[in-house]
Amino acid sequence: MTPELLAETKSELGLADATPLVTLPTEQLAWLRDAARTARDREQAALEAAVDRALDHVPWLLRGAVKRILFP
Amino acid sequence: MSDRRGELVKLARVLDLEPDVLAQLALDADSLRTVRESLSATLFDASRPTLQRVAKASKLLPNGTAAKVGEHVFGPLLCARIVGLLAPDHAIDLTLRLPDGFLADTSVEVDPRQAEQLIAAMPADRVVAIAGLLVARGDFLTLARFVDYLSTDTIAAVIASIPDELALLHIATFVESRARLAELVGLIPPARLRAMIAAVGAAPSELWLEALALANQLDERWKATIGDLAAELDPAVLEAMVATARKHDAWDAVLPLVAAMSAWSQARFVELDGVNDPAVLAGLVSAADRLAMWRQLLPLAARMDPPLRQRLASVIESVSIEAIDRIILAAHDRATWLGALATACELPPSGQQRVMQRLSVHFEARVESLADAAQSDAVWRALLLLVPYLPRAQRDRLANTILAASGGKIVA
Repeated sequence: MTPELLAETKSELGLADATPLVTLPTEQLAWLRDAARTARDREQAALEAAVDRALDHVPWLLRGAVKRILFP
Repeated sequence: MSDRRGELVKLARVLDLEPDVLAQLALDADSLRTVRESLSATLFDASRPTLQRVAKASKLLPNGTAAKVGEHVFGPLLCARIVGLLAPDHAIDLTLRLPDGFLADTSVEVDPRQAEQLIAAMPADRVVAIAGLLVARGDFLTLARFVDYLSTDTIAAVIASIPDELALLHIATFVESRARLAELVGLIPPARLRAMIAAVGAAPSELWLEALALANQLDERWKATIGDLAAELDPAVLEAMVATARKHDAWDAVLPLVAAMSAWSQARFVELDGVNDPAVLAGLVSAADRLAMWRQLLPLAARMDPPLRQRLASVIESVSIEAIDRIILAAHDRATWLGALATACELPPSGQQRVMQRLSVHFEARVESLADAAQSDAVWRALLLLVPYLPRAQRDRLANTILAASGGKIVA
C-alpha cells in the first residue's frame, strides 16, 4: 500500500484518520476509493439533473425568483 | 445477523452496491461503521451548497407544489438529503403530503440524525403504514435506523402491527443503541417473545446465530429472560441452538446465554442430547476459558448427571495447567466448588492428582472458600475422594478450617 493511495482513500471517505484502513490490501483500498468517488459523482449528477428539471414544475410567476436562488 | 454482516449491508447501501460485493473487504465491524458514517457525512457535505439552495427555493412554492416537485422530480434520495435542511414545521407539512410508498423509499436514504424532529413528530399511523411497507420489502435495516428517534408509543404501535415475530427479530438485530434495543425487546409481549424464540428454533440455523448475537447485546436480565423462555419450550428449540453453535463454533455466544439462565433452565440445558457430544462440551470448555467464564460453567457441571460429567472430565483432562489454575481460582462458592470437584472426581487418578497439585499451589488463597463450600454434603463427599492428593500439612489445615467453619461440628 502506498502512502498516496492511503491518503487519497482517507480523503474520499472523509475520514479524520486512516487507522481503519491500514489493514486493507492495496487492491481493496483502491477499490474502496473508487467506490466512494463513484457514489459521490453519481449523487452530484443526480442532484444537478433534478435541479434543472424542477424548474419545469415551478409556476411561471415564481420561476424567476426560484431560478435566482438555485443559480446565484 | 452478525455485527459485521449488518455493517456490510449498511455500507453497501451508502455506496449503492450489493452487500456481497463488499464481503471480502478486510475491515471489522467497527472499521466498517467508521467508514460508513464518515462517507455518509462526506456525500452529504459535497451536495450541501446545492441542497441548501433547493431548500431555500422550496419556501417560495406552495407546499402542495413543493411536495409534488419533491416526489416527481427530486426523488427519494435527494428529498432525504434536503429534509434535514428544512425548518422542522415546513419539513413536517411537506412530508405529510407525500404518499406512504414515497416516504418508505425516502426513509431508506434519510440520515435519521438529520431529521430527528421530523421523525419524532410523525403521526404513529403514518409510521405504522410506512413500517408495514418496509417489512413487506424485507427492509428491516431501514426500520431499525429509526428506532432511536421514534417515541416509545409509536414503536409499540409498530410492533403490534407486525404479525411476523421473525421480522421483529431481524429489525432488532440492526438496532444500534443497546439501551434502546433493551427497551424495544421490553415492548414485545412475553407471548410474542416466546413465539419468536420458537420460530427461531424451527428455522434454519442462521437464525439462531442472529438471535444469539441479539441476546448478547442485551443485559444479564434479558439474557436470562430469553434463555429461560427458550428452556421452557420444546427441547428441540435448545437442541437447535446447540446444533447451531456446534456448526458455527458460536460457543462464545451460547455460554453467556446459558450462564444467565435460571437453575431450572440450566438443568434442562444439561439434559439435552446435543450436550452429550464431546465436541459440544469442548466448545463450552473452550469458551469458558477464553471468556473467563469458569464461574458460570462450573455450576452447570454441578448440575450434570455423572455420565455427562465424566464426558466433561474427559475434555478437561486435556486442558493446560494454566486453565486448571483458572478453574481453581474461579471456584468460590458451593455451586462452583461442587462443579470443579465433582468433575475432578471423574478424572483418572493421574488427572485427579494433577488438579490437586494445582490446588496445593493455590491452597492459601482457596482454603477458606473451599472449607466453607465443604459444609455442603456433596462438596464434602467429592473432597474426601481428592484430599489424599494434598500434602499432609495442607490436609490438616483444611480439616481444621472446615471444623472452624462448621462451628466445631464434624461434617457427616
